Amino acid sequence: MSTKESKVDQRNYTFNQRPKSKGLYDANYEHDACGMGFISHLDGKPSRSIVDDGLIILERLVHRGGTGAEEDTGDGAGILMAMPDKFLRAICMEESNVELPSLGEYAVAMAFLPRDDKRCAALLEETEQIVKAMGFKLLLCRKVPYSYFDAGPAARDCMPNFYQLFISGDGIFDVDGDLEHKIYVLRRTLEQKIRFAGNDDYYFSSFSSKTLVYKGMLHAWQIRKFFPDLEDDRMESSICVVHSRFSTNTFPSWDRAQPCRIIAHNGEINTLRGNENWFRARESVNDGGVFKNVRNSVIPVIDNEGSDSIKFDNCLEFLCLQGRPLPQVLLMMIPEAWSKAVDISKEMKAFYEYSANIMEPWDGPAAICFSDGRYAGAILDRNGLRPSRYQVTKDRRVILSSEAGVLDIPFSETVEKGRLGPGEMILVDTNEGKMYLDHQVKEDYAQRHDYKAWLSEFRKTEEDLPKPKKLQSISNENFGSGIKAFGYTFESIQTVITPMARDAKEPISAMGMDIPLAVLSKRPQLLYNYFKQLFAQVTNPAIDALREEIVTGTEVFIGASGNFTEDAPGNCKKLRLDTPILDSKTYAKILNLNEDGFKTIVIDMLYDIECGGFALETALEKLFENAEKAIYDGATILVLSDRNFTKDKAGIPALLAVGGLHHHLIRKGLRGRADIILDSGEPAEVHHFATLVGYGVSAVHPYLAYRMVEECVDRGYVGDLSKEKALYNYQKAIVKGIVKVMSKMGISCVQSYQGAQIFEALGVSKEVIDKYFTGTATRVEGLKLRHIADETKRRHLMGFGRKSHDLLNSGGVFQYKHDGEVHMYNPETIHIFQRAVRENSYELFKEYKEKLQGEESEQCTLRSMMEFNTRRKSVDISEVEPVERIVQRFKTGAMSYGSISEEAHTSIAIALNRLKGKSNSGEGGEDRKRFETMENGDSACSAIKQIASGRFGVTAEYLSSAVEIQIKVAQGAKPGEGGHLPGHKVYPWIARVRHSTPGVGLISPPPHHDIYSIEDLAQLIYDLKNANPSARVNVKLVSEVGVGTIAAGVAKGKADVILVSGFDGGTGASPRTSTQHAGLPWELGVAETHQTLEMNGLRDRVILETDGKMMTGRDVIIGALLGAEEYGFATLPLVAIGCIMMRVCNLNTCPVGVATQSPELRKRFTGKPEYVENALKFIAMDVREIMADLGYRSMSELIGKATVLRQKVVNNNDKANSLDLSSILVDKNPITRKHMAPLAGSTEWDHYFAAIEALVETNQSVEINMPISNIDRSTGTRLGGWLAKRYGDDGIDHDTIVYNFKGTAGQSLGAFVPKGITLNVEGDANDYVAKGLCGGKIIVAPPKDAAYVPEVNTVIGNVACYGATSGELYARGMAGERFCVRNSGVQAVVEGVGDHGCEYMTGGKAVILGEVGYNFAAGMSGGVAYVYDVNDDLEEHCNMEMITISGVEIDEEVNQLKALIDKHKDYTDSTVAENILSSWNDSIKKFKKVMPIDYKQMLDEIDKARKEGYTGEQMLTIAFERKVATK
Amino acid sequence: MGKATGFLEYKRKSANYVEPEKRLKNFDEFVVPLDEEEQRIQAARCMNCGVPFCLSGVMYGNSVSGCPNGNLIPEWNELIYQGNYKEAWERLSKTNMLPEMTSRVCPAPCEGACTNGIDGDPVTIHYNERLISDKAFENGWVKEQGEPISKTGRKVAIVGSGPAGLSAAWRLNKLGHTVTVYERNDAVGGLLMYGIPNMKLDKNVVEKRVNVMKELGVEFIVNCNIGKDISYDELDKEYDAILLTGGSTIPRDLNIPGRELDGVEFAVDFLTENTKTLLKDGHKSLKDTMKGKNVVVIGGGDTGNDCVGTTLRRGANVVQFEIMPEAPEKRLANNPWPTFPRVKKTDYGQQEAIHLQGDDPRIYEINSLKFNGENGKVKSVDTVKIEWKKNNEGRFVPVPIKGTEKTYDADLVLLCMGFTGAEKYTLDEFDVISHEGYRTNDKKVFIAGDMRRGQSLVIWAIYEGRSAAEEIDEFLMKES
Repeated sequence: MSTKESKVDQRNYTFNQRPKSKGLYDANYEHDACGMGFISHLDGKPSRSIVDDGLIILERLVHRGGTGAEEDTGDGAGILMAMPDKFLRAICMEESNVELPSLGEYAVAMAFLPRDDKRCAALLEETEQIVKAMGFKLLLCRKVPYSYFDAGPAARDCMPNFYQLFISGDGIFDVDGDLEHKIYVLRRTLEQKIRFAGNDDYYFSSFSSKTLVYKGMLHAWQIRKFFPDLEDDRMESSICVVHSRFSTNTFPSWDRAQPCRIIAHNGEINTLRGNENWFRARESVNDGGVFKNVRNSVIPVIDNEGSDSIKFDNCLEFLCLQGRPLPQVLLMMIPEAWSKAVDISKEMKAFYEYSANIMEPWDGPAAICFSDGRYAGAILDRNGLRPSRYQVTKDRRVILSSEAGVLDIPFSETVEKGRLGPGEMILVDTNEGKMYLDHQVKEDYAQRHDYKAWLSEFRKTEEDLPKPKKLQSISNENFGSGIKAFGYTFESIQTVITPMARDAKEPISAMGMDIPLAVLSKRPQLLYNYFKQLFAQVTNPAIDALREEIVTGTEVFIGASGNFTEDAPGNCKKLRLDTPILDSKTYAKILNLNEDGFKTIVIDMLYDIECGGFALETALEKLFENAEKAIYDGATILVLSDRNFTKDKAGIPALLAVGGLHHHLIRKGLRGRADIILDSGEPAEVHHFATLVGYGVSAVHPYLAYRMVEECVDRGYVGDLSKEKALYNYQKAIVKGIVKVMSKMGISCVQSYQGAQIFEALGVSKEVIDKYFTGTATRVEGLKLRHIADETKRRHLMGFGRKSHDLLNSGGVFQYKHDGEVHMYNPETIHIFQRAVRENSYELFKEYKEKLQGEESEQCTLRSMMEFNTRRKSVDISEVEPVERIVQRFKTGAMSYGSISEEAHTSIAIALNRLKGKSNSGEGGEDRKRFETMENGDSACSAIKQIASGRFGVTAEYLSSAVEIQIKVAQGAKPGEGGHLPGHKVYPWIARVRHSTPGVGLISPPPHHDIYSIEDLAQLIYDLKNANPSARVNVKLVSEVGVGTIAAGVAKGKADVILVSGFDGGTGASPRTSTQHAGLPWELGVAETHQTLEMNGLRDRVILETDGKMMTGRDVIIGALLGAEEYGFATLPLVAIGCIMMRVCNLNTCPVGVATQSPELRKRFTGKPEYVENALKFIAMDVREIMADLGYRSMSELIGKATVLRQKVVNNNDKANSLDLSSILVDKNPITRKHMAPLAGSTEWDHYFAAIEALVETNQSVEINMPISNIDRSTGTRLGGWLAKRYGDDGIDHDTIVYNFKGTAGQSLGAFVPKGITLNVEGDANDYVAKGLCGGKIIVAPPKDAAYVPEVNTVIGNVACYGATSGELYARGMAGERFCVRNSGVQAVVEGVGDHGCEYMTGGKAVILGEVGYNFAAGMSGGVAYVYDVNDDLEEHCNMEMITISGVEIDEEVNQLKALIDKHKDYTDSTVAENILSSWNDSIKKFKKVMPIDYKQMLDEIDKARKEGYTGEQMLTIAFERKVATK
Repeated sequence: MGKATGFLEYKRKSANYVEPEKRLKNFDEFVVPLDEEEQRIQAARCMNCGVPFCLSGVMYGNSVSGCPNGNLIPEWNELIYQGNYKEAWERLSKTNMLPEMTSRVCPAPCEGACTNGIDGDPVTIHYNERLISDKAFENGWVKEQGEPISKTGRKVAIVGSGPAGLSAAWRLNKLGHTVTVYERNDAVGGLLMYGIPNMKLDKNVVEKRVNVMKELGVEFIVNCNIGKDISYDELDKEYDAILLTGGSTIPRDLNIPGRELDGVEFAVDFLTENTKTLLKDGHKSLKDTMKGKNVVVIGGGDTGNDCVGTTLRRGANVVQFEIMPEAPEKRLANNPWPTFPRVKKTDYGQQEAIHLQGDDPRIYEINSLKFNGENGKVKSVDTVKIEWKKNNEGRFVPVPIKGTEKTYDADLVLLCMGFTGAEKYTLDEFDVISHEGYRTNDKKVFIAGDMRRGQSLVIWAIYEGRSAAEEIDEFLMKES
């Protein structure tokens, strides 16, 4: 940008003052990720080159950093160094003639101070006084020079003053430890006395005698220019840790730049809220350890203003200063997945379990580089969700960073090239001059104490518990009343509890939600229903708790916290339970617990039902008081119980009691002294348990649900199951359900999820939230205690009132019932709407509209609580933008061919093409026939091609057929989850389009395995723009608090369109819990996104789209007024072509031929494209009428004019009127300017392509030699997309265009490269090699003179061949994690792979000539893997759920394998291949074949059919039918 | 939904009728339900729809789509398939106070709206209901659902013992109120007793229900015509609330020349008399009592059909006049699912006529012009065929077709053209001039059923009865 004016909404912010809450924007929801690394000399030898190389690493990671609205304002970058004594000593002398004491005897504070000189001077003055008063000496206060013009305008506007304070002396206070400890107390004192006393802009980026940090709100490449110090030749160090930040928003954040004082963090702490609270709970119950004499100066430890990384750093620092070595604390805070691992030593497990008693994991994706001046190292989270590649050089330097190849070190100088696997650590000890690999570090700490002995002496498990206490049973009569009082319905028993008891899993539902939000419902709701589950999107991935169960942990630790300032046996005095769901026997035992350090006290959780909200509040106060008293009486386990409910005494809503008590005890500093167990009749469904655990309960005993399960057995609902088995199943389903809920947020451990509050309240007043659910987001106000009491009373009366003898209510949440919840899609609206579109009758459409939103209708959505409010004069409708233009803003939702029938899928596509709107392919690929125009001029080509996590059918040709490419990050009905198309639905025609095998199930993983972070998303967008430069890239998100800041990040990642979906959208199949309880309405999401983008100066960069149960023109208008420019419909067009909301999409039994593949049922399809056209035209006509009425002539005038709306007051619904929509309906300017530039400069390629075209047309080939480095990303993709557009994925011969590269390839080498292109890299490559490969060939091998042994070093990064459909890959050396994930056709040869290899693979071949990591072949439903299993331990590393392992025996197969290895040898000069081949007859015996069971069965059936003489589609169909029939 | 694919695997199978040959010999019920196992399998055809249209009860034009009473059909279908009849009964009786009646007489708008009917045959909801209610009476499960909770001391009078009155009485009694039902006829049941002939609804069935209600404490007073035998004031003194469920009992008349002749009767009177005789003297007393007589039934509805069946059983020759055109075999485009299917239905009486007389007794688009008599007794009916044409106002009206005049012999003409409304004398007695919902201008007087909404289905009456009961309960308890 040429002008130096800030685009960002700044208004005099100082360097760390993000705008506080404003509309829906909340600074708390900022996310960041980045590139990072460290470089160190093994012997701690300081040198200029270490610093220089550190800065180069930063520069080479620029593409991982973020750019805001301004090209030259970065999100932050910085460098942490082991104290650069030489430079400091020299400069102090030079500038001020001050002689520093020797290294280690002085500390340097790097201070950010106010820009305002007066304040700056005053604060310095105050600082000096405190320093002196505490007995230190201020040697020098140096103003750090900087280069003003080398920062962007937004950064400059809020820049701090930089000072280095040089301090020495001992201090005059009593603290055990060295200078570093004393300096810590000094810093904390300064912070408390100055920073927390109202001077937010007083900050120390480092304050230590060992390290120094330079950082700022800069681009990675600016840091060197900005701080001239760094360019000084005398600036030498032995360790540099560097970090380049990609933040999701663009607000001033000099202090949020990293590194922090010890770490550089690439990742996100998902469980931050819980970790903070638990930390506070624990610090309040200990004496401060080494700081006990100055406890008040250092506690609380956590800086509230900090980001997750800073808070992590705070805690880490404190725990280290207590005497634990830095690596040990990291292992405690980010433990690997130890509980289920098979080859971790017992000692190591004991260490981890001991540590778990002290602290729950800080869960979430994390790659952390760290240094305290002596150690340098890095650690990766248990899921391995951030790349970390390291190398060791001949001259004893160790370099680790987010990408390989960040320094141009010759391969011949490199002796080792590796990567961190999940949960791994490497450590350099510059004092000892040694580097330790993962197990070396860990075993060391495991041996330091006899943790096993400590555990066996103090830790309790169920077996150690006393005899059970006799539980007071619930009478039959109380049972009958209780289930009504606690909100059970016939529906919940039949469709939730029964399936869980029967099948041990949660039932599936389809077609989303269309009932009123809890706060609008006139039926009494359980409090749980007001809490919506949050989920990961973009900035961190959801995880697959099912196929990657190995990383999950469900254990909980109960009892008083130990003293975390020291390692002592007593710290493990806790009760360890395997899950948070208690069976009755264990619960009864816990009740009897009263022995050394353990004491259980039961507290009644009841209140007087007649007295309403006041009684409820009083009862809660009393409960808190009782709990405090119990703690003072020695209780370590508080049981809250509503077992004694009576006609007059109702249970306090359990969530309210639990959340309230949790926060009450935190506030009182007592939370660390006891844990909470719940004994309640209320919780019954997964979401109930998830919220309870999420708000701090340790374990739940749901006595009434158990009784209900037994009742289901008695009533014969669950077949022949015994009660024991049914109860077991039910508990299992709940635990699995909770794990699934937390995995949506990317959380692996229940222990971390506990108290993490991963929820947003919808329709709960701030006063209730602040007191009982402190820190939870609630944005539109809502119910107060009196409403909660009222709802409780209404339910209680059902159980105990005059009509208590009536049979249980039906419910009607998912199924329409006459007397159940209101449904927007009900018999009447469906019928009238269908008639309207069939008969092309706008009159009938109006009737339908009236039923939905007329005077008589009930409020279901947030928008139903809004009404128009304008004084503008109406305009004549003839002046309003025509229907034909309005419909161009309409899109249909992503529904895959596979989830719906061909008839349905093409009807919708044809209709939208006729309207010039956009239909969406969904994630199932699309038949290439559809890319061409039909004879009658219609086109069934979906304008939007979706890319989802399964990547089914995603090839270069598919991408090049798109007008818009949509990356589905989350889906409204089940955000944070993947999908599973069961084998019986993979008909031959579906399999063809998806590049898979008929009859074999297909799994879509919860995350995209190439989007673990915001910078990954930016990379995928870059890939796609290369593959098809003319398509808009659309990123689909789901509404939740913070979606606006995520969207800002997505905009910075250069997406063109951002879709914010509502939670209520339909789906073919989703667990009930997700459908109902995950995600939020689009009204909130759209408004927040519009507001946030606008504040960030990013609104003009992107188009904002929304969808989610849009049913009328009014819905569209409200979407527009809140900021959306395009609108999606999915359920509506389905209903237009015949859907009657059967909600059986998952069963393949759709009786109207819409959501089925059954040929029989497809015959029943009666839809026509015209119906969809009519439907959308009616909507547009409705839109026009409203526009005319409101006085607007075009849609674009409306966008973002939220003040045209106001909140409606409704009759007879006090609860609904307690909402406050003012944060949604804020005044935001409409869009001023729209600039859309798909891949700039793409036309420049024309000459180049002309040459290629000439070659191809004349059947010639070409070979090109070039260097390559890590900044060359998506190599080959642009060319591949261009070729596929003209010739298809397989139109030209192999090796027509051959590139020979030398060096380290950047990310996405060969992504979406079709047949004809060969990429040959001499060197190595980063992540995502061969992503989406669709015919091309890729070879990666180190050069001959590499100084390391290729087969034991890493040659390609993580997630190679993701979603690839055909082609070949040969890599000499090891591949990273998730090799061949979701491969469906590529033949690949490598020499070793990391964890989760061949995960979700559905086709193709993987040949692995070396070791494989954990969880190999998880979710693998097709394809074959051949592993050279020299150690004969393959099975231990496999996830055996779907596969079998055998030898390779059939001749034909043996020959094919040999041919592949031959090729590998030829292409890569592999010595491994050579050795194998030279003794082939022996070698072949060591090969194991990994084959999915289903896949094998299907291949056998196909083979059988072939032998019977069938061919082609008929052969497949016969085989498919037989396969499905045998199931 | 017992089974997700049940609707594809099993064909609809309906109950059997006794052969016309046999059934014409008596007035016994002629429906022979499937055996239990077969009926249970029929329940597996239910798809347990996300939006069960069968229970929706929406009015489109004049007809209802789906059950007006919101019967929880998918719930009990599932339970039938499980073989869990007891619970199926509970879920059925939660909404339907008289399922043994509706499972015999209801035209089943639920089946018309059944999703299976879009492209196939609907679930046999009607006979599934029958299975459950048969089971319930066999096993004595009926009473427990009506056991009253503690008495409130409030007293309610119900005027009229038809389905609305019985439904309300059941519910109010269960809620602890003391209920007295007044019936002007000599037996309880209203339309159920005398409006519907025995072969369709055995009077034992009605009696069984009434007996259970008596056991549960409901008091029935028959032969007591409120407004004539007892006045409003008397009721007012005795009761805390009064519910009027007198039905829509004024038959629509046909005022053409000759209407005064003997032998031109309202069907309802004829059927009442018939049932009374049957109950008193048995089948034999009716057999052949109309042998050789010609009967003209005017009106093509269910009552007309009942008249055909009844007179055939007494030996008559029957024709049935219908002013509307013959309905199509299949739904027309303007009558799509889930609206009530307007298709030709050949009911038991007509089947029997075909059996005996060779031809369908129905004559469509025919208008009666004049009754001709001899000695004050009807002998024939002059008719003309008509066609439906739009008049000047755009409304369809019948227009006679010249040259189609025809005279039919008639010894008995039965008028069954529906009912026009409630008895005026009752309304006058209670001074009911308006109502809003179930409440009237008099706060303690409520009104429900056909008396309130006009002629409709039994299932509507049941719905109104129970809904009115809730309002009365609210009224009574608020007053306390």
